[in-house]
This record gives sequence, C-alpha cells and structure tokens, in this order.
Amino acid sequence: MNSGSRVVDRLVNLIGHVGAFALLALLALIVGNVLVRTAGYIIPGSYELAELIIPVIAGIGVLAATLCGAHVAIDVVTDRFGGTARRRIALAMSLVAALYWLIVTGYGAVTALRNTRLGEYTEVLGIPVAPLRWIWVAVCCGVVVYLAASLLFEARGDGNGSD
Amino acid sequence: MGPIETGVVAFVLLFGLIALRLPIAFSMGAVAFCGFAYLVSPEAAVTRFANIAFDTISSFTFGVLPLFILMAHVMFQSGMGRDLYEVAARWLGHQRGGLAMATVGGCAGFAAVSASSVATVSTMGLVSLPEMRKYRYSPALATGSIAAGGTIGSLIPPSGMLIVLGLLAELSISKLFLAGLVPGILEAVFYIATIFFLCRWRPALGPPGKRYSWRERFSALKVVGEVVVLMTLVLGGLVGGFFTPTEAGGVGASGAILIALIRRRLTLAGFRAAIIATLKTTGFLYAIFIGAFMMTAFMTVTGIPAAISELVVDLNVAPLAAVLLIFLIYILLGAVLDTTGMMALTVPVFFPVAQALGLESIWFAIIVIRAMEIALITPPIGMAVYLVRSVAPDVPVGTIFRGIAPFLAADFLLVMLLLFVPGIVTFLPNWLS
Repeated sequence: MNSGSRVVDRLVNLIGHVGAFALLALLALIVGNVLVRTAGYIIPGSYELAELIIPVIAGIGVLAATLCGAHVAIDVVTDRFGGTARRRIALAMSLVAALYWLIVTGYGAVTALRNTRLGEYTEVLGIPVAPLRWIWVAVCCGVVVYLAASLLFEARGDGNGSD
Repeated sequence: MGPIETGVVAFVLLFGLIALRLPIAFSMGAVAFCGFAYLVSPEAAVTRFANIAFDTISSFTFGVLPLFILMAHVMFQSGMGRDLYEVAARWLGHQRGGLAMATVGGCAGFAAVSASSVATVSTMGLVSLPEMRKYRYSPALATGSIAAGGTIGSLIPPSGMLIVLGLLAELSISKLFLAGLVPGILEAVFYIATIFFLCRWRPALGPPGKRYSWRERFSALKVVGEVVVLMTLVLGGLVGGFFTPTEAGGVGASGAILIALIRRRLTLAGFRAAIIATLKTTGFLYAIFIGAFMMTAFMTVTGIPAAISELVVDLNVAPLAAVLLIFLIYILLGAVLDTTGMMALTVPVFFPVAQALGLESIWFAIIVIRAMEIALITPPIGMAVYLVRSVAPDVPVGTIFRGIAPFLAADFLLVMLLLFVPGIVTFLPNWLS
C-alpha cells in the first residue's frame, strides 16, 4: 500500500466516524419522533432538524464515494485501448471531473456567501442554514482537491489509467 | 444551433464522456451545465445548478436513501442472507431442483431486506452455490438461478431501485412499493415453476437434497420471524400512512440494528463496514441525483421530451408499441450501463412520453424496472452474470447464460402478463390509496 492510499484510507476512516455520528443522530431523531407521535405528542421542528443532518450525511457520502472510487463509470470501451491511450483518456477525464466539481464548488461558495449575508434560518426553530451550505462547500472542496491530486498522479503515470 | 439540435449534440457528448470512463454522475452534470449555459446563459446555469446541488442534498424526502441503505447493509453484515436461504432450503431442498428453488426464494426474501440486486446476487451466490454443488446440480441451473433470482429484488419492497426511480420521477414511493409487490411475488413463482418443469424434464439437472423433518422446518422459521415482523411494520406503517418513506427507512434501519444486536450477529467491525458502505452508496447515488436533476433542467430547456411526446402522439403510435420500443431500448442500454445510470439518463425523456401517451406512471415505472433488471441478465454483457462469475470463477460465462435462458423465457411471459393485464400492478396501490 503506498502513502497516497494510506492517506485516503485514513481520511475515509475519519469521515466515516462523522458520517456514523450523523447517521445515528438522524436515526434517533426519526425513531424518537415516530415514537413520540404514537403517544400523541410531536417534537417541534423535527423535520427541520432532520433536514439539517441529511446534508452532512449526503456531503460525507459524496466525498467518501469519490475517495473510494465508488462513482459508477463504464470501462468496457477504455479497456480496449493500450496503456498510453488509456492514461491520456484518464488524464482528460480527471480534468473534466475536476472542472465540473470546481464549478459546483465555486458557485456553491457564492450562494453560501450570499445566503450567509442575507441571513437564512429554518422556519420553526430559527437555526441558521448557512453553516450547512459551508459544509457542502467544504465537501466539494475535498472532492476537487482529491480529483486534482488524481490528475497529478495520472499525469505522472501512477493512476488507474496506466495499469 | 437550435435547442433540439443542441440537446442531440449534448446526448452524443454525454455518451462519449461515459464511454471514456468519466463517472455517469459527473458526465451528466458537466454536459447539462455546458448545454444550459449555451442555450440560456452562463449566469443562469450557475444560479440554477448551484441551487439544484444544495436542494437535492438537503431534502427531507431524499433522507429515505441513507436509511434504507443502512438497513440493507446491516442485514447484509449480520448474515441474514444465509438464514433466509436456510429456511427456504429446509422447506424446498428435498424436491428435484429444490435447492435452486430455495435460492430463488432466498433471493426474494433477502431482496426484501437488502434493497439491492447486487447484494442479493453476491450473498446468495456465496451461500447457495456450495450447497448446490454438493448435491451435483447442473452448473448452468445453479448459476442461472442465482443470477435470475437476484433480479427479483428490484420489485419486492423496499427495493432500492423503486426508491431511486420514485425520487427521480417524482412518484409516490409507497405506491411504487405496493405496485411492485405482486409482480415481484409472481416473478418468484414463475422462476420456481420454471425450475420445477426443468427438473421434471431433466431430473439430472437438480437432484433432490436432504429432507428435513417438519419440526426442523418449523424451527427454522423462528430465525426469520423478527425480520418478517420488521418488514411488516415498515411496509404496514408506510402503506397505512403512519410513516413517511424517510421515517419508514429510519424505523427499518433501527429495527435491523436492534435485531442484529439481540442475536449477537453484529460486531463493531461489521457495523463500521455497514456505515462506510452506506456512506459510499449514498454518496454515489446523491451524485447521480444531482447530475440527473441538472440533466432534467437542461432537457426541459431543449424541449426534447416535449418534442418526442408530441411526435409520438402525432404519429398515433399505439401506447403498447411505444412501451415495447422503450423496453427494447432498456435491454440495449443494459449492455453498457448499470441500472442507476440507465434510470438517471432515461427518466427525463421517457416518463414525459409515457404521460403524453396517457399511461399510468406507476405501471410504467414497474415495466421500466423489470426491463432494466432483465437487461442485467441478457447477453452480451449481463452485469449480474459477471457478479455470479465472481463467486463461481470456474463456470464459463456461456454456461451461466445458458442457465439463464429458461428464466428469461419466464421473464418474457411475466412482462407480457404485466403489459396486457396492468391491473396486476395497479390494483394494490389503487385499492389501498
């Protein structure tokens, strides 16, 4: 195992802990709400709280899927190419992916900045939503950094495309 | 270039990028962004797409995904697949072809808790194949029953595919669950009947296995009792209107963890693995959703879905002929794409067409799901076949496809039945709603 994959493993492990915490919190909230409702009460703003936890899970999930290479890609065509061609294609595709996420990140950040200034709060509990937008931006940054690093590895000939 | 021409070029580009191994989610997002920016304006594209991404990940409705996926992975880690197969094998294993029937039964049962065809094929392959080999089953029948059995999971609630399709096409998930139940059970019955007739015709294909006493058969049922209670609670609560789909997922996941802990079948390492697997699956699905919703926004601007719908209506195409054509397109797409990719790419185009033809969306969704699953076991690619191959590396792919052929015939019969008797699909959701 090289140092790059060790770093990725540790990172996945770390975000896995945060994800686990968020998942269990969501479970507790939802099951608690169902049980309390059965008894004729409600937890005020429980849906809002859930909507604040879900983006954390989704964001961590997107990052984990990117770090683990879990995004669905089709390799039946590229497998027919030789090593050099595959490496070049992988390089170009890493570039496209990085650019795509750069756009998502950039404009996610612009929206987050605007909504932070405007003061965006949940309706019932009045919790600020802006931190969540910034969590999403941070996740997107993580994806961009990872894709940029992959791009460098591809350029050096160490990536998947070269095997 | 006009909007429709731009849309066509974008589709060509999209398939080009997918073929060059760019993840489907990123391909859709990148092409949709560029197309939208070209047709409307870069500023509009930026504003629209930044909102699509955040709105998707912060939606309460989409919370259904990680929760049902967590339930599936906990069930998987706690060895539920083996238990379900064991029960089916005790009841059916002594018949000719009984272990293959048990595999199909186990697949149907496990699919109900795992919500994934891939997990079902992998688990059942590991559990049932050694047993069938022990009793000298034909490799074709053994592997064919696993590959085909794995596809039943797409229809039996809480199917992951039904959830994803429901979210993409904005259909009621509880109605989809109800709509998939009867076709899913029918599918299992058709497959079991296929094995029964095959082994009557050629007894050597599936020799009888061990016969268990009635006491042993009934005692095996205890193992799955809690799971049956959990699934009844989840589906009953959902259908009865006590839970939203997200809450049903939460109750299901909590129940699965509780059952696994009570039975001492969930280790800390197993739980960690379930969490990481849940995050990864959730992540790639969210990325697909973001890409698919961007694609939907772009498709609306191009006017392609509306143009195709108008064309189909103007040509006076019989709805059934259109559905058959769409069915064939899915079988062809299945040669290169997985089910999530197929759904993400086709829902924005085919569902408006189905609506224009006056087809009931829930019924159309079930037909589409079945088409995608059949594509998983259809030559030349058949992704489920390669999953089976990973657990049976000594069985040639040709033998697996030969084993699948009778099940494909059963599939054909079932699809015809669903096409000509739509009530099989629509009766339960309409009656209960």
